[in-house]
Amino acid sequence: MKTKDNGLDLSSLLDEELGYHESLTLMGKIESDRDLSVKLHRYAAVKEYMKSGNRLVPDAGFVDRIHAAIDEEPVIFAPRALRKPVGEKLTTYAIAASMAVVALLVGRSLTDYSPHRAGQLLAEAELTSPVTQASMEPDLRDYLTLHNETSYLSGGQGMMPSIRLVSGSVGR
Amino acid sequence: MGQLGDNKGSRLQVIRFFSSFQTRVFFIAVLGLTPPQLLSDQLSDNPATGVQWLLGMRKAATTLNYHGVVAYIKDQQIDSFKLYHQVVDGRERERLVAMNSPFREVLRADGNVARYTADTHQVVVETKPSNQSVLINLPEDASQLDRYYQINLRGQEYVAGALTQVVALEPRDAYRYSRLLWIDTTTHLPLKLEILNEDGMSVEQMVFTTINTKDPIPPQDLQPSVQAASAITQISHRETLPVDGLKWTFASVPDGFQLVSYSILKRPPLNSPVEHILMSDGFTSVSVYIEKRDSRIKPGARKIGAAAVESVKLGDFEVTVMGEVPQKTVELIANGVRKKGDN
Repeated sequence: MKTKDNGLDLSSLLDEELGYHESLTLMGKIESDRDLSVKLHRYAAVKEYMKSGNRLVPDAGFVDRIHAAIDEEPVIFAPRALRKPVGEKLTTYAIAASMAVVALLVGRSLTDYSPHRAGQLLAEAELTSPVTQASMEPDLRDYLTLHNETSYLSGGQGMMPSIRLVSGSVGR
Repeated sequence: MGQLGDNKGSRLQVIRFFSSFQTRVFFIAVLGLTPPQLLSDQLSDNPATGVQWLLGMRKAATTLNYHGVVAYIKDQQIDSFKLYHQVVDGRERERLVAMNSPFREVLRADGNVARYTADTHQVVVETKPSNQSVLINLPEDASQLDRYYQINLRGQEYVAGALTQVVALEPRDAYRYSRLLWIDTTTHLPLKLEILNEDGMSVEQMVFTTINTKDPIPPQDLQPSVQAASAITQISHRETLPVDGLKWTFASVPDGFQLVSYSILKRPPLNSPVEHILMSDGFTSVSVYIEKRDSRIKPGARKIGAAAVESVKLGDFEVTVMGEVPQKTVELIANGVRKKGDN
């Protein structure tokens, strides 16, 4: 139950839908709970893929780790299921077919998955992003400083005018 | 944006008791602080509207004494500042000082704004209208915001230990960003401000981590840390020009953006004169820079933190438009700039 709640919170955190204080509490837990930290990275990788479509490259031990995880799964002898009505069976088959299609799609994306490579890809993406390029253009930084100054002095800007005034000078 | 607001609203803790009781107590207390046309509304049983909350906030921010620590989050970085605000005989004095390196400070008093940055070791002094708050500037007629933003109440939350009313400004078109404001239900100071982009992601945020409205501010806390004599003092020279003198036309500007100032900037670090046109809808500003020179800024779109930037070549000129708006807004404005007579 605890894991399920944390999973929802992690998802909300990544979607920036978690409250300010809840976020701080959860980040404290992540720092002390390795499982939770791993889970967060997993969710972040999934989100990154869904958002950008970047393909992630698996390392050599990826398949082995999956086999090892399956071997560690306990065997559960479930009681024989009662005979289900035909309609319910069809629904089950339909869901199974849909799951198979989803698994195929996810499987294709996971062929490129690597947790280590993912971090590298993100770093590379940041280095080549337009945001970073812009920050390297001193003329644009000067324009932004002038924009903040003039907006503040003319009263044309709504929020945080004077904080922008000094925050913009960092790194100049 | 509507979906964003709904999400925010669903996760906010709504305390309905306060929304009815405290709101009425507050607006009875500030009857003299808001425009006359709103007085009749305040006297009625109707709960306060978003515009009334904004008016109360503006009044509180400029008339109360307060000091506290402000966290400012932008470009995935957190900066902390100490903020002091004091009013004596109707005259405001404000000091904002960075708590982390590099040292930075803004002091506003007697109509002047002095800004010191340690990396340049300069004090830049500018003349500024004294009625502008360090936290938030609203147009004189706050109700005009309603033309371009839906102003909605989004329940209540605690910030810095105080109960706040969340007010959402959601744009009526796709050319502006949303704003969320957390307004203290007791003091009516804005304790948290947030700007959300078109995807509902936070691009800029300011939040008080502590705030004190009761204890007096020691006089030394309102004095500049760096005396002008010990630094290089620079009075900014802006050659403000009449709007009639504009040599440019703007064929495509989103509704509501008005020309606020037109000036030529000659001061360093810019070596060549730059024409600067500032537009604002009363809450959001967009700057247009026009410069005649060899291209040093690459044409195209990019982002600098919360600011979207679009640069285009226009004959021998370089036009750069930037502001805390969606990319499509700066793109639209930049591509509509024409030299007068070239139409």
